[in-house]
Amino acid sequence: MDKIFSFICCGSVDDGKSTLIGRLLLDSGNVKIDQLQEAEKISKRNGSNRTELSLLSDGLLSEREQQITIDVAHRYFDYNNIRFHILDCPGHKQYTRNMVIAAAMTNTALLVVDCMGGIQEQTLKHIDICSLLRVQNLCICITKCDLLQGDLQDNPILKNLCKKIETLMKKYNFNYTIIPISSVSGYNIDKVFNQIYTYAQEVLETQNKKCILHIQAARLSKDTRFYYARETTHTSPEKGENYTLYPANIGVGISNVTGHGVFNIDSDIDVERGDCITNTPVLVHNILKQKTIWFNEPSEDMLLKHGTRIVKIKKYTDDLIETDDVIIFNDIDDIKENGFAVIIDNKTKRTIGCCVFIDNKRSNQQTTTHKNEDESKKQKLKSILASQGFSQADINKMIASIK
Amino acid sequence: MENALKNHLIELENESLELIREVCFTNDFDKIVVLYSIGKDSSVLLHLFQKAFYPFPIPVRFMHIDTGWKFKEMYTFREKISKDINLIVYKNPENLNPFTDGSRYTEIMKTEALKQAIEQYGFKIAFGGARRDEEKSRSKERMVSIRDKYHKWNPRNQNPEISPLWNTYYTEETELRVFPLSNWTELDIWEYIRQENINVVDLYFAKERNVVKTPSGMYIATQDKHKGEKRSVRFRTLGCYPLTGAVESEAKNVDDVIEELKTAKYTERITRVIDYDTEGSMEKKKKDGYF
Ligand SMILES: Nc1nc2c(ncn2[C@@H]2O[C@H](COP(=O)(O)OP(=O)(O)OP(=O)(O)O)[C@@H](O)[C@H]2O)c(=O)[nH]1
Ligand SMILES: [Mg+2]
Repeated sequence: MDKIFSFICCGSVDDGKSTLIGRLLLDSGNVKIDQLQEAEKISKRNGSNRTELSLLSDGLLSEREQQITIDVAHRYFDYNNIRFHILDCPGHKQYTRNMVIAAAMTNTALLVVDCMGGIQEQTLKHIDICSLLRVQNLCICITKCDLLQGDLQDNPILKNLCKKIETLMKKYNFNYTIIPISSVSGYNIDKVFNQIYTYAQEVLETQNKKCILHIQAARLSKDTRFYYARETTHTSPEKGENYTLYPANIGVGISNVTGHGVFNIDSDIDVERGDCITNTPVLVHNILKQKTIWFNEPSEDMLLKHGTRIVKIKKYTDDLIETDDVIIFNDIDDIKENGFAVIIDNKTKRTIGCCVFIDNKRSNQQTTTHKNEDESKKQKLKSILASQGFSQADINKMIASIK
Repeated sequence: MENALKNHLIELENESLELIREVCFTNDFDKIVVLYSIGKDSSVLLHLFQKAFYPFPIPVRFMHIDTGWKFKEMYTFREKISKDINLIVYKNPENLNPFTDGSRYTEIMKTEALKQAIEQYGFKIAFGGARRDEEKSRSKERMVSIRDKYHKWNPRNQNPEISPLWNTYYTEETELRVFPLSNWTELDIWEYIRQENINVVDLYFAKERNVVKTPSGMYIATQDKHKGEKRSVRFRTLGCYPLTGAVESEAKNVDDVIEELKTAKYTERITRVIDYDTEGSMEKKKKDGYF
């Protein structure tokens, strides 16, 4: 296997998501005998005359009893040298949040629509979420086509539904295809495989060279400082490359890479957790144009986590969030992985929202606080002092006394 | 193409390292423990911890919940490993017996023992080597999973988790279980063991062993209880020897194991009585506080 490609399966409740996932797992040879036997046993007990393939994905007891998906299931299969990571989402309205989080993590979705039921309220909701979270590729599977009578080529129900979907898609920016399928009979499942394989190749080939390192920690060993970072765009730094440190906005060079996300830089600048070292333009603001999907009611006291930074939310409206310190980010349209944040209730410490950054670059507003400039001056001073041989502790003392 | 060299194991490793560091660097090291079972997943987890903090030593403690009924090879292996890490060994003083105490044995010696140890040491965060592909209720698990103050799992009361923006907070009311190997499969574990040259207990490799065949599986014969027969077997998972089934196998080394797994017809879980006794048993155990 060369690469991992993840995609979600979404759509309205009972339209056949889990069954399709079950079929994909089965047909790619990724279901073991004991798993199949168990699904057979439960199907029989539930009075079904065929093996419910959804049972291969629905793992919780309550899911099996109610025959609905409650939480995202993570499943894996290997096909043509690519590892596929599927996130099977719940369709039920009550569990939409679990679909949101899955959509944030991928570029590609299988969207299922029941051929008889057509487009439902939840189908539209999921399409909106995919659009907001910039899921680019949509493979729309019209499911349960084994229930249609006669020749599928010019079946009026199918034709009608395809037309409706095409009209709907005009409102959006997706790269989409429509495939009528049956997970029960296996009809057109090969086309689904081919389609996701094509998407996978496209997505995996357009790997970018943009490297965004969110600093997790800095540690000092003898005279050397080691930095540990999250590689937000899954691209690693290389020795000798030149980067910029934010929010200080100072150039730094990568002097050594000692492990995944572990490196040294060629300067004595004091870099700390929450800083960002990158070779691509980023935005450094504390007033953020955004859209938030709330999982719970917003509370009085909220935190925003982005990269490795956690800042306090001072004000929020539907479009703007103001925080007590800058974050280092991109618009979701520029770099998806760096284009959203989570909102955490400071009291309960629960995740209560997903915040998507939109149009911050274009709006070109003066949003950054002065803190940022001060920070930059401070850092420059620190590196001058360091080059003159002062110890880190002395430098910190001197800087503190300036204020 | 340069990218072609980068295989999916590197991606999996990256995600695990980032999670390990994110949880450890945002919390007190003293509140964190890594559950270490001496099995293959634990060996990989230990290796990842070493890599995550390199060149510094691992800053957190490891803990083995012992039952007294592990394979003797596992104790030898633990002895060796304990020189490299800060290892706590905890055993529930109740000392139940798997042969005579039935399902209470697992509950008391594993689930209860884990809860006792967590309370005794005041841990709030426990890392574990569980994988989503192991078992169906685990396929629903978060990488950072919330437990209530009684250590119980409620699948409906989890954080919406956008990996890698993991929420690493606990409160007085909650504690965390963290699973860096969530997205790894059994085959990934073995390919990584090969690539990184990681040591694992010999029981994973086929050898002539004295075993007894029973309707629920094939077990190591203990001299006093059974007369066994010699067979070439290995173990896909390791636990307490009276509850861990062997599989017939000729796989004598890591390469063989990988080849064998590529065509395996059954999941590894069928060899573990604890997961397989009734439908949903792992889910129930997790709800009770098992990891
Ligand atoms: N005839 C027929 N029935 C299907 C097909 N696919 C799914 N079904 C049935 O539709 C019902 C719902 O299927 P699921 O796969 O559980 O639906 P879902 O979309 O995962 O539902 P939620 O996850 O709860 O939103 C089940 O009874 C399936 O057997 C199909 O291709 N043909
Ligand atoms: Mg489902």
